[in-house]
Amino acid sequence: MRLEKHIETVSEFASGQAGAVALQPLMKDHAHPGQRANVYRNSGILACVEALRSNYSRLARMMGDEFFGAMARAYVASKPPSVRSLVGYGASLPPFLAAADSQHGLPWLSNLALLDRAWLAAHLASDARPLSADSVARHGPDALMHTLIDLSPSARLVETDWGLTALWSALDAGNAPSRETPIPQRTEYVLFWRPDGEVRMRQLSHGEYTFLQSLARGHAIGAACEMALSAQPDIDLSSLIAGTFASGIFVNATSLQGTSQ
Amino acid sequence: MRFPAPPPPSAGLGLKPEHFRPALETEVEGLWFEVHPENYMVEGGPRLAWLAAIRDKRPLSFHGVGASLGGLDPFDPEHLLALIALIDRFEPFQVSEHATFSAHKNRYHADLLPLPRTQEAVQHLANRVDEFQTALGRRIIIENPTNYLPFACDLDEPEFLTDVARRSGCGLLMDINNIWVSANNVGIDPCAYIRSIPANLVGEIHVAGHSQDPALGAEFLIDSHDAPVSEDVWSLLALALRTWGPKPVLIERDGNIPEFNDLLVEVHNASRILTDAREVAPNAT
Repeated sequence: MRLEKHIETVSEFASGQAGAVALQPLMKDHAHPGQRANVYRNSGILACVEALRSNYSRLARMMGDEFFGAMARAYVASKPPSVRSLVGYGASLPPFLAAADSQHGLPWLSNLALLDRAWLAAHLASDARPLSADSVARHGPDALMHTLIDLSPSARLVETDWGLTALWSALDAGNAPSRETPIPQRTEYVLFWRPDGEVRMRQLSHGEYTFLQSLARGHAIGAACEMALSAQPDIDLSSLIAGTFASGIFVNATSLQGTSQ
Repeated sequence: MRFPAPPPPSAGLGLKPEHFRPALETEVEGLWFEVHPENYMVEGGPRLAWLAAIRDKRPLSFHGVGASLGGLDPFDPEHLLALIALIDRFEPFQVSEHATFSAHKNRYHADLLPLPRTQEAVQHLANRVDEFQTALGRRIIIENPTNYLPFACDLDEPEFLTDVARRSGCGLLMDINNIWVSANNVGIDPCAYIRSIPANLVGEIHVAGHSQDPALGAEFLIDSHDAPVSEDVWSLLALALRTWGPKPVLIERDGNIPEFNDLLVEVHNASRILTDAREVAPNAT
């Protein structure tokens, strides 16, 4: 029983639900633990903040140490980890930032976090060999239209309300633009994927984005082309197909006409 | 070439992503690496690829931080399965964990929280270690915690750890920096502590740097792993190796991470102390 009480009390203190005085009955001679007890709260918070800094490194660079640190501590208090590895910790940071728009006054911040999150997901996704570019040639044009495509498990498609790809790239390259940098309010479409060892990022046109998203949702190439055309009437379909095949984002093609590879 | 069996006692280094390339390319003889398996519980990607390439050239050990061995929650099945998959793939020569708890009621504290040193806790931890070892299908070693506060207790720490090891069949990972920091913070004799630990239970040794608490100063040391190993800890390591005989010694560095070559200086220092200990106690195991 003493063990259960001990674990319960230390856990409550560590998670900020109880003050240091709650630890007093566990101490030798029931002495008040004083300021020293804080180490059992701060170490875990620090580990979580550092995990967020690593998982959202471009966001952290943009916000600066102090602003990011304060935001990250608020997030840890609100969404403490439950999984026993911090590798993917912070999945709900983008909506957390969006909900705090009125406090930080930077309405694009949660979109920047969304880009970092997509990069991380692409970085940690399972390995898959891209379909070779010439495999497209083996299908006749008609068969190709009836082909289903599996996107790489690393593929992440992101739509943002702010034009952030240039800023994200600068931050990714290690630069720290001023927080006063004007951010244009416009829709941008972004693809993250890992065709070989490292994650790549590319800004897409609305048509390219619609095409890839339709494929990801299980539509055949022909149907995906139609959707791309209605999103972007001037899109060049043959270069769209050739370009996406060459990018290494496709890992499997299944012909609805009976052959598969 | 694989190293399923323990290598001869030599110095190893905690592997950080910043050092993947020099870790792969270094020619230092006998060097091995240790990782937190939790950082590799991912589907794929470059970090697993780097670890696989390094593992092809070097022995590897796993130092878990997420099992919450001393906790009351059941073991997290997802964490266990991920750990087993990593052990199958990377064949570490050693798997270690901590004599602490790190989760409670589904909240992961991301910290190594203290257990009370009571007979009840000895039996609880021994049962949990036994269950964990059965799940992994192998023996583990458990690490002594850093002491920050004088909790009421029935046993001293060497008795506590030794009892758990004897009841569960696990071994011990002795962190010399934790002993030094604990001695400073709660007033124990670090030399007596080391002499109380049976040599045959010790499977590995850790050394790391510590720092002073920003508010309380030198009277309160933090096990921060963000500085070079202190002179006091090197001296205590020499005593430990003379007492227990040569054991694998790991340099841990998790913050203010310097260049790889700066850490190799510490690896060489540990190797020199290991060589000296071999001359003093050639027959110890």
